[in-house]
Amino acid sequence: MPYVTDPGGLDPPGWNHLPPSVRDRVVRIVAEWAGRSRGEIVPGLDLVEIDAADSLDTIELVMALEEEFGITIPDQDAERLSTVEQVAQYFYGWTAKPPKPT
Amino acid sequence: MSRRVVITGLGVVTSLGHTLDEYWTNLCAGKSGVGPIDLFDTTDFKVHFGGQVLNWNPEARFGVKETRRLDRFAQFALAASVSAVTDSGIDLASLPPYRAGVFIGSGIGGLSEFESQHTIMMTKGPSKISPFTIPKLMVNAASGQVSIYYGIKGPTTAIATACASAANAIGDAFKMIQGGGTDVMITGGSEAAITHMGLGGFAALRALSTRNDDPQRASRPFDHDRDGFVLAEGAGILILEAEEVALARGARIYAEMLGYGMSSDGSHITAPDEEGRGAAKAMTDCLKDGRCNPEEVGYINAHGTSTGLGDLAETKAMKTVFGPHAARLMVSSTKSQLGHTLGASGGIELVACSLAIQTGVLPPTINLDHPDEGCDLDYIPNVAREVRVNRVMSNSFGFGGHNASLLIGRYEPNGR
Repeated sequence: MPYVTDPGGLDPPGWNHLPPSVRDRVVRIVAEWAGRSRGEIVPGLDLVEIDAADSLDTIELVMALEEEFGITIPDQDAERLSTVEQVAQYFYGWTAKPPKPT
Repeated sequence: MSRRVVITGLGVVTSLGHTLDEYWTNLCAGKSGVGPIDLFDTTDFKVHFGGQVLNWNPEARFGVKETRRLDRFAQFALAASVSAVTDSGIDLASLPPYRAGVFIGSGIGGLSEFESQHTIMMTKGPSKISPFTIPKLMVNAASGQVSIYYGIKGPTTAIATACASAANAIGDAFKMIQGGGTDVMITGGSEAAITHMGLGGFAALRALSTRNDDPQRASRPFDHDRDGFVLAEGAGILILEAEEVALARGARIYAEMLGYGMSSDGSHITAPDEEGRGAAKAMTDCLKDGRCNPEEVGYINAHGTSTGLGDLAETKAMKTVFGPHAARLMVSSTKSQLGHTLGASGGIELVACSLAIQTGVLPPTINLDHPDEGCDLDYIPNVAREVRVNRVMSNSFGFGGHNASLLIGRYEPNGR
């Protein structure tokens, strides 16, 4: 899964082609983090624009996603995720091919 | 430059109510806000009760996301500050931002955040510590969050002198306006230390009452059967304003800030000076600062925590300072009803003092059935009293040997 750490390399599956389990988990975590209903968490939603989320908020979200998916991701990857769809694609990549133990 | 400073807004979060009306009505009715602690399982603790803030729903006030960024003590501080600002009617946005400030005290700060994140670190590892841990637990989180909420850009600090924190914060805020540094201050104290470590730590000091079978009768300042204080939580915030600023906007004035005195015992980290010498010095300096004769003081809201040594030492100090007038003084302890809210107590109690001047009712000391030997002042036992008083003092003493006294008075437009 090279696109996981190099989103420009390969073409990840679009939102509708991601497994529902991944989409549902991402939507649930983002909704809890943002204090919004799940219906508001649409694929194109920009995480930074939700209630003007700052860098601390984003760290908190990444930690919640890491907890949910049972992995730890590199900080430089976290900085590149901006939409809900990108987050789902990114974590799908890891679940499809578990990373090496850190 | 020495300007007159007035109190124009009051806000509280207490075990006897989250609004001013509820708090004051319950206080004057002699009710107790003490009950079983349900914030966590207290089975293994020596003490199972406290003055817990009930029906607290921060999500409804601040939203889910903002609530997660605020430790309980900062939630109380922000809620009480908003209540006080609203009560004062002041439009902070219309003021020059550098002319307003925030001084809020807390004895401990975000203890529950510290504990929950420590647990996460020990069970899941350091990489799982929340990025909000430090900004939530720091003592100055309350002042910082309130200043951010209102966009205030003047002096903003936090004062940590244990149970004298709020009184020191208010005193410093008073001096800030009096000296011309600011025109408006949001000030007081907040505390939320009913946690595993808070309850266990104070119990380990043997400072807490263990009257588990009768919690509402446990806080009994000056009573022979007192056996320690009752751990409580809450916030008390006041809006202080330069007189001319308050008059210019036609503000309602509860009372005038008159004096501030402070001292240190310089002897023991927890035990008070048995003769109350440090406490007496704070009261004397407070009177002097307010250019007030002892005979002019009608009521003292005592520190009165319900500990063996403290209540006696404070009584001795009041006799030292007020001499023969001590016999005519009316004294009561709000802690008999709320328990001890630590760094918030000076704020919550000065709110009561302000309302006492405005309404002409003095709240009682409840559970005072058999005054202890040496505790022989008029403590307004068990029933509130309707008396018009013009000068009121509030005492707060903290671990570390910190003593702070505040003096307020009925506002007289043409000077005094």
